[in-house]
Amino acid sequence: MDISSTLVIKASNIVARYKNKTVIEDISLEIPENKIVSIIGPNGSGKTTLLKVLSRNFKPGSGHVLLNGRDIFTIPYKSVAKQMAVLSQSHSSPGDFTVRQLVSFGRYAHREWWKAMTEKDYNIVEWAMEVTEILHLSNRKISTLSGGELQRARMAMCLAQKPKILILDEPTTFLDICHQLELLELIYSLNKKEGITVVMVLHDINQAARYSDEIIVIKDGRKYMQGSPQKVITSNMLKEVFNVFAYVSNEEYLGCPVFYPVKMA
Amino acid sequence: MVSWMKRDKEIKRDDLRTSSLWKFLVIVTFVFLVVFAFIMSNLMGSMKLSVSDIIKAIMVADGTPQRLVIWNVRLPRTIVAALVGINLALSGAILQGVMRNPLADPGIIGISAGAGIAGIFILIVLPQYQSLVPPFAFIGAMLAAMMIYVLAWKGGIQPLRVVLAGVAVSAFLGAGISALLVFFSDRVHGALMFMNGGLSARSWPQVSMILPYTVFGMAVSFLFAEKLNILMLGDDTARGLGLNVEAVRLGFTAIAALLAASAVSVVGLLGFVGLIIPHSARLIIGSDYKYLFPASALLGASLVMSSDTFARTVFSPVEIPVGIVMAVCGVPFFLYLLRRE
Repeated sequence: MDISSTLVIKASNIVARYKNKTVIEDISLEIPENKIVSIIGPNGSGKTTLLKVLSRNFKPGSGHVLLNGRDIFTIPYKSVAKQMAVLSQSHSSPGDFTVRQLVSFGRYAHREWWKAMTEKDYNIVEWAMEVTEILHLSNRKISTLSGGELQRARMAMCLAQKPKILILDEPTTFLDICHQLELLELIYSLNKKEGITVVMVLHDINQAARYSDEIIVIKDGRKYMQGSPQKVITSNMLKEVFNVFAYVSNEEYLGCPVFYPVKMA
Repeated sequence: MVSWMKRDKEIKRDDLRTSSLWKFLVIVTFVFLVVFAFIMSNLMGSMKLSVSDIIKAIMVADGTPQRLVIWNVRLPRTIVAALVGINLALSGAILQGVMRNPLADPGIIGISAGAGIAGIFILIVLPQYQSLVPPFAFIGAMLAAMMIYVLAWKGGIQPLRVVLAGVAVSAFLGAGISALLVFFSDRVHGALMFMNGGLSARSWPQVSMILPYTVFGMAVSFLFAEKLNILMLGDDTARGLGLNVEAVRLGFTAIAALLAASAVSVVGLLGFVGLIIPHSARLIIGSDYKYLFPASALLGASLVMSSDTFARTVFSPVEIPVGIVMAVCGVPFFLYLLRRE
């Protein structure tokens, strides 16, 4: 067996620039199958750009991204979308689309352009709305949704793609703490039940530690470290990468490290 | 409690609005509107006719005066009006989606300015070659659109760059039009009709000039409406769903350019149809392009047909350019939209 069969995404020597500013300098990383991998790092460290490169939304200046062993930028858009769903940070949509309509767009990659939705497509849309608990909202207009409801609807759209990989860019932004946990629990259960590989950027380091199998730390456009939460979340890392003195404890009952920032370094 | 009930009621009303029954009824109403405008356009004019006269004149090729008036004058002119309305409305609907800008219309991709300078150049400098106006206006429109493409291109088309490049190129060509009008001020009259748009003396040759573009544009936009719906979700999301964003944007912009250029080259610079019709349709039927395209096409056809009927009958025998009629309808509506926002 080739090693790439258990690595869904393999990025090597990624360099990315906007105009003259280099945002990512030589990052290589591997995303193992069926795992939850979180990317953390300070503002402007290149997390979002890295995620855009991994989801073929930004072409790197040099380096390669392999999706199941194939260069992602040579795979047709629809084929990528059948394997990988992306929840980006920004959302725009005409407010008068209904939730069901939005979720149905997730089936786009699976349909030929001349074909209507089939029974199977409808069932998958129904399933996606059920998993994200928005079935009761299905006929509501997007403009009438709360932030949490909208985020779940967008999540359902991603799930309707029936992806093997979910790429999430700060999925919990704009949500209150309860909705944050609700979304993270959903992501966690999708990973466990459906075996979906998850790559996400998270702002909250404690949440990253709690829900991830692996954490990638990005600093100044370079990979600082990749490993299990226990290995990565240390007071030394928090000082060097995030510039804070922090108290880190390993909570037995949570099974993951927890940190509390004490003061700026 | 009360606010909750109010919200519930609003949602119910929204449900009605978004339901497919509502959309179906709107489309049916618009179809009736088109039929009505079509009949009125054939009915009205200096020769008084009845509906049965019209049917007979269309069906039976006898040499009666009724047949001549309907078949050679009113029917083809009405069809040109309908096709022009469809093309401009579809073009505007496409551009508002592609540019994600509610103010986008065919003028924004240089169609008006390009067709304008080419058409007016012929009319003023080479008035003996008046029959060359449509092909040259078409070429001018497409060249201007391509110029804006090239200027805005940077590894793909970004809506804002297109809009800004469009404004710049239009201003530049507009200055050229003004210069022509100033240097040849004794011949300005010939250009006036073209600048305001008019349908007088348009007949079967003009129908065959526009029809292929209308058929092609309608087919493509109705078939690929879903792609435009997805494009409205934003570039990143659309790409994530499997849409080739750059290709769709380029393709649709090209179709919008063809639609508008074919219309403008035949009837002159008709403003506002491409702006107000898609907006009105959107307000009535919603943003789903599967419904918005047919609704815009039908509404565009009925507006241009009825405006033209109005333009040629109200001050008969003097005919006012249909563009003026439409601007008179269009400006108040546009201001109403601005107030609403």
